[in-house]
Amino acid sequence: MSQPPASVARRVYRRGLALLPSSAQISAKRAMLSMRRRVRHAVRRSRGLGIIDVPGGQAGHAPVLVAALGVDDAGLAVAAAHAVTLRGRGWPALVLTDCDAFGELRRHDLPFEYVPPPEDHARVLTGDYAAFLERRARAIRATWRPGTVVDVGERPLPHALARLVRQGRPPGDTGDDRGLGCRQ
Amino acid sequence: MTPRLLLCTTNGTGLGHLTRTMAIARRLPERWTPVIFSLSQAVPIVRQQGFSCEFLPSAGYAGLDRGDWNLLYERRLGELLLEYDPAVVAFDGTYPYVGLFAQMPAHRQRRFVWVRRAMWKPGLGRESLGRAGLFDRVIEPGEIAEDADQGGTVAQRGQAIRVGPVLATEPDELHPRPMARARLGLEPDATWALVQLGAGAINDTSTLIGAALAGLSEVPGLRIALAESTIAQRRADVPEGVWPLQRYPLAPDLAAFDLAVTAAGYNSVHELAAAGVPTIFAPNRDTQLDDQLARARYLAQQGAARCWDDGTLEGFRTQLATLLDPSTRTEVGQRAHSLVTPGGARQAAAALVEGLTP
Repeated sequence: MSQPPASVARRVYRRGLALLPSSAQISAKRAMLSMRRRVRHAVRRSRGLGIIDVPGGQAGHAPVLVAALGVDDAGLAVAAAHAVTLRGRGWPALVLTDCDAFGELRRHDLPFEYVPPPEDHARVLTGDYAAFLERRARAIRATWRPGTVVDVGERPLPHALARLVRQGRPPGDTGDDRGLGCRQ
Repeated sequence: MTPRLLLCTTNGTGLGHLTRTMAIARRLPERWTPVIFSLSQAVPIVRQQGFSCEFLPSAGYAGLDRGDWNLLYERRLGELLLEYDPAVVAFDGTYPYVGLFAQMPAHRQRRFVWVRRAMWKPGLGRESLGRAGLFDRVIEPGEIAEDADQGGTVAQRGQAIRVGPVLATEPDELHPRPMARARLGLEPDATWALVQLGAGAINDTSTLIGAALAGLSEVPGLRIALAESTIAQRRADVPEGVWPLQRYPLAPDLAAFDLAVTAAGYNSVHELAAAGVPTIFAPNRDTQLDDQLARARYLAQQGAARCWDDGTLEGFRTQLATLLDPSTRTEVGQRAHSLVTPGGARQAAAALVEGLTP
């Protein structure tokens, strides 16, 4: 059975929503969004994909996460250069860093994840930083499902990501990244 | 254990939401610890101010469609709520995100607060306002031009906790002029004009910044300081004789200036008025919701500022001419100062945690 065009479905949805009292519109909209999300998650999970696609790169390529923990501005620039190179080869690249000098990442329109450094963590939380980082890494991994991690950082990676480093460079990638400071 | 607040900000134009959030965070009662969750790239500024900061790129920057980004926001917020276990979650922005609402049902034990600046453009933002009831509290920072406010929040004032204008620097925290000038490196005895108009080509008088600099440079003896965004790259086209400033926060040193030319955003207007700086406001009409034109025009009607709303060099000259007399400047500055009631940030901070036991 063919599906109705998206615009028709949207119009029907909006008309239906408008018939409800305004207080019920919000909960109805939330329920619809939630259902749409659940279906989408299930479909993506069944395909072995992350919940959200990393922008850039060729379709079907698992994202590469360039980890730059414990680096300074120069180290983050190295990570950015590495991610740009990977993206140029068709791999969707995502940077993970605890350095707040985002300028270089923004200049190249690179998607990135920021995690507060140990000193910020200590200011607010009493728990172990390594455990905090591990939890965040697991969440990042579940969201983006990187196939490979490239580590250019100065601090040990959390276990959830370190396991992916051992899988080596992206499949089919024969480029020489060593000049960029990669510790693969 | 120290109770925590998660203060979430949207990513508007400039640093307005973030500055307001930090002003409130700084005045929280003792023992409360804030964590700022921002979409602004100004994370270094937040950290320099002594706050712990979480960051997520905004939808526009992240290159994600709105649905994906909302999902990302929802997941990250969920993680932060579990990690930091805040008693209060406050959102400063005009459009609370779907991802924020999605987390509410699972976190009923926390207080969700909307810090909602008023002065919206008439007829806009109905969807956001329809969701106000989902928050436990709405706090409305005071608005100097509230009598001219025709936006959607006016009808909901009764449901909001209304506090004074939220200022980064209260009038009693301002540095006296000699100290402020020394801190900014300004010549101590000159007449100084502050220009803060964002981007635009300086040597093109069809741009606001170009017209303002051209107009000011025609006044003999007037020195010009050009404030640049601390989150943008330094301009390479600053003319000789113009003093560049790239500093955050600038508010404590506003007494350094004899007059100012800026956009009419909430923070600029209230900080300059509180400091009693006579100002020519150039309202930005491209904001999503902030009705800068109404704010600037109201202040001009009150004799508390000048409104440069046509953006032309001729229009600027006309407004500037009315502020060249020092006694007029003093009068305008005092009038502006008298319109601002101090203490709003402290009131907002108290309202966030009121009734919660630390």
